[in-house]
Amino acid sequence: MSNSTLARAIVLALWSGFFAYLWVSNEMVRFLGPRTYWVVPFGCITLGAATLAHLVTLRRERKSGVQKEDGMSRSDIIGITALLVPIVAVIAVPQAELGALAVSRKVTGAGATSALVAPPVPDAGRAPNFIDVHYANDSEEYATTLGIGEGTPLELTGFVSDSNGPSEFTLTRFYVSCCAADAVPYSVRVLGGETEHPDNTWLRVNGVLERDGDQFKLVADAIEEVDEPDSPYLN
Amino acid sequence: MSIDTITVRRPDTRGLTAALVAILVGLLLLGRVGGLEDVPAAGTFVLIFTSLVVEALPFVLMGALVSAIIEVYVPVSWFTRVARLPLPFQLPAAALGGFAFPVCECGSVPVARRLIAKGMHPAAGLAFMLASPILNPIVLASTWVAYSGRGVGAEMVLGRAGLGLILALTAGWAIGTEKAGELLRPRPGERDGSHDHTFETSPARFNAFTSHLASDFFFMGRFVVLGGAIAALMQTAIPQSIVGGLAETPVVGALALMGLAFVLSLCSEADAFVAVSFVQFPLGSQLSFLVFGPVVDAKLALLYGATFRRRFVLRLVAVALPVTLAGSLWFEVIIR
Repeated sequence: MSNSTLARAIVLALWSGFFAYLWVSNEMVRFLGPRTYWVVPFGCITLGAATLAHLVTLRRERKSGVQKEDGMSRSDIIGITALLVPIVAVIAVPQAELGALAVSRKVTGAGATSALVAPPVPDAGRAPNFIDVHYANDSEEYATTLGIGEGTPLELTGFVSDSNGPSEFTLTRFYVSCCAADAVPYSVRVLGGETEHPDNTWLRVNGVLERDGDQFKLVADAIEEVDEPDSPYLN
Repeated sequence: MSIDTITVRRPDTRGLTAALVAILVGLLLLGRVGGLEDVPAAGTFVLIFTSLVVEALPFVLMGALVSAIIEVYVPVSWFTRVARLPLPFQLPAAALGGFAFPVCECGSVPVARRLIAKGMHPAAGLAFMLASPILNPIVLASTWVAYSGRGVGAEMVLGRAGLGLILALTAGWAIGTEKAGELLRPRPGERDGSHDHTFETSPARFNAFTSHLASDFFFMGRFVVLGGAIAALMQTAIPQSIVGGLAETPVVGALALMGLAFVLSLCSEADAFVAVSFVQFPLGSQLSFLVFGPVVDAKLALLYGATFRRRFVLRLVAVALPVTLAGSLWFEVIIR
């Protein structure tokens, strides 16, 4: 039996299993955006199929009586080990997440969060979120369509990304299109509160919007620590 | 049953294996026992790194699959017929072939390598490789979606497709002048692909297919992992705001965003959603990000280095940078 073929089959099976884990546990929502969720079942099936193809080949090699007793080359060993690194990294750091540090690295503009894309089509039938507040800062028409203005009550769930004492901090949520590498942070400044929350603490904030210059800020009536949502990114 | 044994003497790799296993175990212990998971930078790095690999790996497999089909199931005579076409026909036909190959850049490299090895003109193979991550329908659709809200969806799609096609043709023509053997880096144990293999049975053909599939997948996969690690490291360590101050001047802005595209190593199917967030940069500079990134980035540089002979990356940058810069400046003039 060829050692390298067997080792490759094992690594392919591990990757197929890793994709299956991401799929079944719904952990894929931490790594990918909604547009690329399909990659996970697709990867699970295709890598599983590649594993089966390898096992069939190994079986045929054995049946045909032509058996390679080759050791693995340096190139094989390095390639196979390299492909194990991401799986080991996830096991080593299972709670990896994009938090306040990632916000500080991903902000591209002069201070505030970046604009995502096209502003989403305003939908007055749903509660405004971080993205809506961001576009309401720039567009009066957008704000009016969604009924966003001075005194608008709002509930936002996000993590603290720039704690500046208990009375003022930034609440942020990422928008992910394809994968965490393209995550874009959306933030709202929150005023009020009595307890200081360290960076990366997930909070549900209820309050009303107030204009402060050209930006809306959320004046908090109630702040509650919550667990990280099942889907940590904005959809 | 008698067993034929083929023995291939390999250098002793037990030391290397032990060292690599020790590194993996050390990484595991550092994370679970050493408190690495409490370090924010480690969490950010691992998430970005793994997400890049998770997103890219199925595409690498698809690229390896197509490459293996070409190697084992498509006769060389087919490529010989294509190679007889005059280059002025072959080159644009190959570049436009990207429309029909909806995978990102990680998948197009092994396919282009196999096409060139099987007899397609190197210039045409390179044009296909460079065009397909930009011209494929999914990428153009995502570009349209990203920019339509700013009212320039059609302009950005046309600009991206047009400049991407020009860049692929120019780079293919300028770099693909060498013969396949001079352009491609040989791989240990790989046979010359310019002749048809003879398979006595279909199981033998299937075995060859799985062997090529795995060979390409594992070869490309390691560079995707390494490139993903470098991109994640740079995303974790370097604030993107450092390019923000360079937005005012179109030339400097375009160069800054090309540099950022290299660092970020985004999939071409997602990069438009990031490019559009650079609101302080002119549209021409954003176009340079969208055209340069799918052709040259940190992860691709490693893939290219493993696939092509020395200095390929430098030659590609020498062509891609001025073409993209000039094209993006023209675009800015036209769209203003």
